[in-house]
Amino acid sequence: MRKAIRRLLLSFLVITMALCTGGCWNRKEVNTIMIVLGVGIDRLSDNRVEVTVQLYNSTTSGPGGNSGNQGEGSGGGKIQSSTGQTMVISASGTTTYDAVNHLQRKLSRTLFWGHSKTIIFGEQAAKKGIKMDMDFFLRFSQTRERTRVLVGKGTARSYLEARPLVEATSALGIMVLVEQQYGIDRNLKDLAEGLLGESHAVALPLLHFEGGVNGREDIKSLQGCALIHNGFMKSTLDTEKTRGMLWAENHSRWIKMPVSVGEGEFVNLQPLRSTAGFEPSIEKGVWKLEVEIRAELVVLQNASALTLDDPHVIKRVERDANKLIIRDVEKTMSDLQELNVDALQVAQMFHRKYPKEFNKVQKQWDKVFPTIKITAKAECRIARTGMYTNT
Amino acid sequence: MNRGTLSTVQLMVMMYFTIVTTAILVVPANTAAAAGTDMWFSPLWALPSGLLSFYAAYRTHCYFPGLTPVQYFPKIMGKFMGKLVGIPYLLILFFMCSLVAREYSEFITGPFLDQTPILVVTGTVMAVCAYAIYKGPVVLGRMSLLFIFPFVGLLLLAVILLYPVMEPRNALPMLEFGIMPSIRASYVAQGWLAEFAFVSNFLPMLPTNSKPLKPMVGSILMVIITLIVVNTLSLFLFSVLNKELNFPFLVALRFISYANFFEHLEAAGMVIWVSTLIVKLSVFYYIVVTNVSDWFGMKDYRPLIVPLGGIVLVTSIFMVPNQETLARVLATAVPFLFLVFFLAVPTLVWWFVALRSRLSSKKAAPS
Repeated sequence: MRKAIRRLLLSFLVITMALCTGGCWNRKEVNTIMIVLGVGIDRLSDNRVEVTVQLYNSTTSGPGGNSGNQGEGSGGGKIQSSTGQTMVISASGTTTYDAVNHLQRKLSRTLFWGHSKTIIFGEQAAKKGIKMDMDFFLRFSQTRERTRVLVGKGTARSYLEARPLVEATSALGIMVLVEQQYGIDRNLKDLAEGLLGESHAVALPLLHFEGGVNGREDIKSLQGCALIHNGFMKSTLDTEKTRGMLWAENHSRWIKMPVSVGEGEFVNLQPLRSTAGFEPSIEKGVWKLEVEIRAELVVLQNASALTLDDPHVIKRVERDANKLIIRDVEKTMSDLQELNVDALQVAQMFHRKYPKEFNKVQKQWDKVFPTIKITAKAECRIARTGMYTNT
Repeated sequence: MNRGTLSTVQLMVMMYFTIVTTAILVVPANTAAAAGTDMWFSPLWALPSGLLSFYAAYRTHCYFPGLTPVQYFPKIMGKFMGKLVGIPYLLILFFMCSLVAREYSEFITGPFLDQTPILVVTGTVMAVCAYAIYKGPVVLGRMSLLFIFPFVGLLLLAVILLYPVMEPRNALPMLEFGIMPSIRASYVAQGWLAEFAFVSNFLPMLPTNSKPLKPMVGSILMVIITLIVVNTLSLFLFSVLNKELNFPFLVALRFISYANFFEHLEAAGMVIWVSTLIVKLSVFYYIVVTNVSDWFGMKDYRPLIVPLGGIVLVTSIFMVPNQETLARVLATAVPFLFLVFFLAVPTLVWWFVALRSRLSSKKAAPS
């Protein structure tokens, strides 16, 4: 009798446990959520925040939904689908939170932010300050610190709506652009570290549109960077002026290096890898920073009369390449100093080496930074000249 | 009632979990706030308080083999005083057990199960712990050995996978404001290390001829090393952000990303952490239950499991109104209470007992 009761109880326990293992408490199935792929933040003319999200559209996936009605019409003008797989939807509010709330209320499914790859700030949003928006994304438990952060010329919304040339969605396409090292690479953690760190400044990669290819009207490219100081975008640097920053951050893979060796004659080099070193020093009250770039290069095209099979010639090209790198780096640094945005965290470098001296000037870093003597040094090595010596 | 036996290795790992499980949540952020770039070696200063609180408990135990503190207090200071001193102990144990339960529920409901009612989150884990201690402390020892490998594996995995994104430069400048900030910052870690005094509740369960001294010192060192690893990881990853992060180690885990698909590792980390938390909460729960039953002189502690668990559960929900208050309490009052009740008082008790036995042996010698 006791044994029978015991068995009955045990089997009851097993059944209840089996029922619980389904994990049905607060279950979230794929068809009850909307996966956010990319987020855009814009400031409208009346100072309202507009949040645009690119969503993975699980209902219309497959070949049937691939028509993708770009532009006008569908769903009251604010809802547009950029391809069959994704849809772009935006809402505005007084704050990010408010806008996200309005956005959520438009949808029958819960937004899921855990897979968001990019956060794009529109130009106006960046100018009017991104600190409050940053707070939302850092505080919110679903967004991740790895999420790429960028600034887009024009509106952020236009980038999420754009049709990528290659990738399936524009949010993914932008992430891949960043990973290609066309420009600088910043995530949410970098942004927060920059703005909360010694310099209160950070550079964010800058997106802009370039003309269409193959009937796809918009492709995006990663050009230059936006300089953020105390949360406000102060200025932008174009591709050429950003190059120094790419050298400083070892993102040299696609830096253009046409070394001029005569009238209209170039030896075209491609960086294989590079490393940057920073040597801050304070001598007799003069603050100095030496940036040293070491790079390994290969020759991609010899558009000159030089014969590259001669080590002396290679030496000469290397010297000229050094000058090119030095020019890039010094140009960027002097621009940063002129704009007084310490986006390369020079403050941190001095803090690490000269804590006492730095702490004295920490409050007036804005006055100190432009006066620092920044010099660049480069040492590059042409590793290979290609399959043929002379052609 | 015979409560079973533990091996020294089981005790060692069990005590390791008892300290480290919540310490890796609480210590990095609090150390970063006070020590800044020196946070990585700051837990080292907690070593003496860990060693002392263990040694005091151990030496006192040697005078009263087979007895737990609540049982030997009456022998030291007389029945009435002993029982009286026991009361604040029981209260503080209740408080701490509820605190652990609350830390668990905050960690689970904050970043993970944000919709689930706190009662369900804490209630389920309390039920598991209740069953574990119903089966006896031997289960806790076995569980510890079971979970140590996944836990250490998780730490190592995190270090290896995050290695490429670590910035050792973040540790500079070292000793910017001298040695004091790092010592001051170790306050929270000191409090947590003082929990090693809990070993006195388990020492009676070791085999009579065992030598727990070396393994327990090893356990203390393991805790310090773990804290240093976690603090270093947080510092190298998040530099200035550490003091703003509520759970740096969790964020570190979710920072892992390889090839855009090997990511979202924090769920696996959470599973392993919860299993170690079950050990920690069970240890606290067991200590509460056995101390209360010893105080009343009961033969069996098991009838107390459910009622006392209910009190702990309810206390854990009402003890603090929100996460911020909990964080503040953990950073200010709790280490102080730990240091008073598990470092200062046990040390005084040890000195008193040692002095008394020396005096009595001197008295005994001439006669």
